[in-house]
Amino acid sequence: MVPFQNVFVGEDLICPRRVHLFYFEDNFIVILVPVSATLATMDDFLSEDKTTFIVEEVSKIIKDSVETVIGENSYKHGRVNQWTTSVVEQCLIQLSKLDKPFKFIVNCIIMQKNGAGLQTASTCFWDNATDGSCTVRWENDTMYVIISIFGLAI
Amino acid sequence: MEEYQNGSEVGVGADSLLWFGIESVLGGDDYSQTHVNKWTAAIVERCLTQLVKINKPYKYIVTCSVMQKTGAGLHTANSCYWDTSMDGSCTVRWENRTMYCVVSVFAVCIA
Repeated sequence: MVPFQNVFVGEDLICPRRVHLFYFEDNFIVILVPVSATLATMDDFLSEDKTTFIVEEVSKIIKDSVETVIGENSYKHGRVNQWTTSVVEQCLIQLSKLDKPFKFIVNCIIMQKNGAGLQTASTCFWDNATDGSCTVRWENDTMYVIISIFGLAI
Repeated sequence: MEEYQNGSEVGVGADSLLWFGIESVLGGDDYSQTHVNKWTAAIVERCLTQLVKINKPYKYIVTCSVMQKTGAGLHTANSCYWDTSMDGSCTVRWENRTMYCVVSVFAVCIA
């Protein structure tokens, strides 16, 4: 059975748990999805978002920061220093606004497009369940920008 | 060439640890596109295993960049939102005739 249209999320009013409704042509099919053995409340689901590293959210922050700071500018040796500083600062400000119990490390590399080869790698010794990272590769006509953000749960 | 921030346990001895990690993998080689993938992976792995052996209550992040020398400009920056009294970082820049290598380690204290 394939869900035909949107999936709606609502709350079962009889016993409080989150339910998923698959709208299926003219019929509704209700499927209960309990997360744990005990009844989960809406609060449990909300708090999960506040304590996990969400890659999409962080990725958006990175893209917005780079677009704002660099945009369509051409590579200029005299300005690159200022750009790298601004990008990491912008990212960090947005990340701290998320108000999550995380420590963050933001790393930014800007390289002129000159035919040179560049390889980067990273490895982490952390708690796989709570910590995460996000790397975005961005480019314009004259430079490559690689930004990595590592989030470590407190 | 080598710099470390704050007097946490990372700074002491970490820069030589990273230096030997790089030297053992890249020493004597010229930049090669076919091998560079393997090199960066080996460098980060080697550095991390040495750091973990110190047996301190830290989480580590090791990053490595290898760039071919062709006259292109390269800038890197990093910024950290953490506990400045307990956490720290160390960055080492290494080069030979054909390539640059920059390795950074970030150590975050487990509360």
